[in-house]
Order: sequence, then C-alpha cells, then structure tokens
Amino acid sequence: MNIPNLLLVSSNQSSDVDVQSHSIRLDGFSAYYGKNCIVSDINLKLPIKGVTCLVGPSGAGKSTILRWLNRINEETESASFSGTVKVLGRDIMSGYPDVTELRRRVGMVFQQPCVFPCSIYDNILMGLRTQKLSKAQARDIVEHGLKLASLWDEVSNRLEGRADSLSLGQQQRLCLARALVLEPDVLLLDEPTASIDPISSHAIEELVISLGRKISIVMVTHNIGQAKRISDHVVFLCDGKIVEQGTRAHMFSPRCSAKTKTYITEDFCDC
Amino acid sequence: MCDRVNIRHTKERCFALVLRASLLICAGTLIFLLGSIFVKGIGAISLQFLFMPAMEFGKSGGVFYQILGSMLMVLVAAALVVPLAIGTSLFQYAFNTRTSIGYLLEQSLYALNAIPSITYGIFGLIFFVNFLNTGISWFVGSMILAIMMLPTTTLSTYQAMVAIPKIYHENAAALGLSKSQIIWRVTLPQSFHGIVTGSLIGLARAIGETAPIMFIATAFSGVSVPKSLVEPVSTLPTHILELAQQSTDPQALQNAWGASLILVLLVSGFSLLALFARSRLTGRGQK
Repeated sequence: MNIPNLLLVSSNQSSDVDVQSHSIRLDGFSAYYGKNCIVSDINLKLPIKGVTCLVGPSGAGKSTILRWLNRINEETESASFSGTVKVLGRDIMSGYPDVTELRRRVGMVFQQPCVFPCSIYDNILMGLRTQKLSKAQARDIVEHGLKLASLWDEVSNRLEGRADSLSLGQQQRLCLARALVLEPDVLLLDEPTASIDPISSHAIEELVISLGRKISIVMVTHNIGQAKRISDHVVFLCDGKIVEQGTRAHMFSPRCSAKTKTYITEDFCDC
Repeated sequence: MCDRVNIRHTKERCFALVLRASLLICAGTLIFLLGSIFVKGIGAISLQFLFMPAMEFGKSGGVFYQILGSMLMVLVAAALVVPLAIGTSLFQYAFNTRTSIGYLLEQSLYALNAIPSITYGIFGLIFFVNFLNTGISWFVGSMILAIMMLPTTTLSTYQAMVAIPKIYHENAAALGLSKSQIIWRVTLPQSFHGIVTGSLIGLARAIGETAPIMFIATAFSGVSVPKSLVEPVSTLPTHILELAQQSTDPQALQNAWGASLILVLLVSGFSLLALFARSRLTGRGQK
C-alpha cells in the first residue's frame, strides 16, 4: 500500500482508465424509486480529470445520478435504474461483480458529515482495515490523508481523540480524507459544503480544485457561486432531465440557454 | 373569551391531576412492595444468612447455595442466549428485513415474549426430562431460561441495530467495506448497548422465575454446588416458595422475607446495570 499521492504525482488511474476518454458514461440512464421515475433517459460523458458540477433545483435527480455511480443507491429500498452506466470503462453492474471494488475506486463524500464513533486515526483507516499495514505505514497514511484534507495542523496532536468531538467542518474534511486515502479514480461529492461554515467550505473548495487536476470529481451543489468557482464542466438538470451541459466558460456566459441563464441568475427553474 | 380560557385551564389542570394520580399509583405500589420487603426482610440479613447453606428446609441457616444456584443458572443462560440473540438479530437486520420470513420471525419473537413462563417449564419437563431423559438438571433449567430470555435479548439487540442511522452504513459502504465488514465495524459496535441492555433485562426477568425451572432444574433441599450438568440446584425463587409454604412458622417466614429481599436486590442490580449500560453505551455509540 503506497501513501496516497493524489497531490504529489500523477494519480493511480489504472490501465483500463488510460485507454478510456471518459471516467463516467451514462447512456439512456433512467432511475426510479419504486414506480416513480426520478431521472429519465440521461446521456452523459464525464472527463477523466476535472471537476464536474451537477446543478439544478431540488428534486432534479442530481443526487440520484450521483448515488448510482458507485451503486450506493442499492442500499436504498425500491431504488432501481435502467440504461447503461460505465465507470472507468466498465459497466457498473457486469463490470464490477464485487461492488466493493467499484466503491474503492469511486470514493464518495455525503452532504452530512458522518464520522464513525471511534478515533480520528481509526476513521481515516476505516476503509483500509483489510490491508495489512505496519504501524509506520498506517501512521504515514493517516498523516498524508489529513494533510490532503488540510486537517493535519488542526488534529495532529489528538489523533487518538474521538472524531465526533471535531467541528462539523473538520468532520467533513475528515470524511474527505477518509475517502482520499483509498486513492480513488473518481470522487463523488454530494453537497459536501452544505452543512458547514464558510471557512471550512472554502478549504474544501480549494482541495476540490487541486484534486480535480488529478482525478475526476463529480459534485452536486446548490451553490451556483461555488459551481462557478470550482467547476471545469457543468451539467444543469431539471425535472429529471439534462437541460444543458458544457464547460464553465459556456455555462456562465451569455451564450448559455435561457433556462440556464434564468436558473443561474434568479435561482429559479421553470422547466 | 375569558370563560373559554378558564375552561381550558381547568381541563389542563384535571388532565395533569389524572397523570399525577397515575404516577402516584404506579410509584406508590412499587414503593409499598419494595418497602414491605425491605422492612420485613432486613432483619433476616446477616453474613451468616448470606454465606451459610440452608438447614431444616430453610427454617435456619442461610441462602448461600440458593444465591449460587440462581446466579449459575442465569449466567449460563446468558452465555447461551447472547450469541444466539446477536446471530438472530443480525440475520434479521442484514439479510431478512424485507422478506415474509423476516416478518414472521419478528412476530414470532414478540409472540414468544408473551408466552406464560409455566409453559416453558412444562415444555422442559416433557421434552428434556421425560423425552430426552435428562432428569432434573440445572443445565436444562439454564437452557429453558435461555429460551425465555431469547425474545427480550433478541428484540432489544434488533431494535438497537434498526436505530443506527442509515448514513453510517452508507458511509461505510462508500468506503468499500463489504457487508460483513460493515457488520463488524459499524453495526455491532453501535448496537452494543442494545445487546448489553437486552441481556441484563433478560437476566433480571429470568432470575426471578420459579415456574419454568421448578419441575426441571431445582430441588427444595439437600443440594450444594453441582458437580455435573445433570444435577439439580436450589434457587432463590424456589426457596422462597418452599419457605412460604411453611409460613405458619415465624422463623421460616422471616427467612422468606430475607430471601425475597436478596432476590429483589439481585433483580434491581441487573436492572440498574442495564440502565447504566444504556446511558453510557448509547452516548458513546451514537453521539
């Protein structure tokens, strides 16, 4: 197990990623909760590197799409999908018979910070417990993960302290560090700054921009300003459909569609 | 307007009064019972009473072997029931929640909880003592007590598992942990308080039971520390029953109150431990 080096050297994207031009590809993707269709017939290609922001009003299906990319929605009762979803060149169902492999390669951080009721140290290593690590290796990984998440300076003297004693912002960065030590090829962020203070939010944004140079990041956000600051690519969804997608320069320029412009300027969608 | 406010206030006062009366009846009954046992039983308590074996069918001597017998039976019952309860709860929680078999299992546990304790005793007598020909055996008694404790412990463990916020499982799954790893690292640590509480409540219930063990595991006199699994023991509840049958004798009656007080203290001890464990472990696990 190497020390995570997402910010130091090129990422550990494996050979099957290198031959692909897209980290994620959705073809005719529709998602359901029971009989309710939440998103329908989505076609989407996301680049190998860079930050893609999914924006749109509540109920547009942004999180549903995100939650299928690592099959975490399988844990939700009555959730299903149709169409094809390929992650890192492989179909998420047939290409990853062992779902844990998919989830290790596609990290995820949720909206609500959720640390496990154990130490900061153990939280960071939670996803690596199956690997045999020496104490020194484990310590290095913890340090590196926390440095990646800009949390090391704040917690280095209390690694054995309980993770739930951290502030919400720190907890969210801990969740990020926990995901990063697995060295994912794709990182999914579901409104990661929605429940934290502006300073912590800014730290996470900086981190996302840095990581986006190495891996593919897909982030759901309601904060248009944030999407404008950090995204390379923006997908605007409304009522379960893609209204428009394009580069940040396009989506935040007068050339974008009227619907996008209305949503971006007035935070209102009339789809 | 003013009348309407007055009527509302009067109704609220009446409602509060009814609630207070309910509380008073419940708490009063408990205090009266415990107070009576304490006042009448404290006179019998001495080091000699605690550490001497019973003599003359309990009229003299102490209750040492009865305490030992009770503790032995319930602790072995707990050792039998806890792994089974954890296994059942985990199966129900992780693999069986949405199936009809899962629903049936859950309802069966609730039904099992409501079965009168004498039924367990009769089952033990017919199946173990008569059919399997085990004879009067404290281990059979422990098994029957374990069956009695099973629904309480299982349901408490299961409820603690169900109460774990889903976000913990999603976060663990998102880190690539398998189902079994999630069980070991998330589900079990976070439901530990439920396992401990359920086991202690089950113990508290089991230690006070007479009916299920009376025919299959206990003898009224002449027993000491069992040397094998198929020997009888004497327990506090059966000893109290025996002494109560001699209640015309003041000495036997006095000892009956003393033994009752010790039994109440043991049950209260388990209940307090359960309360303590719940408050400490819940705070630690789900903060």
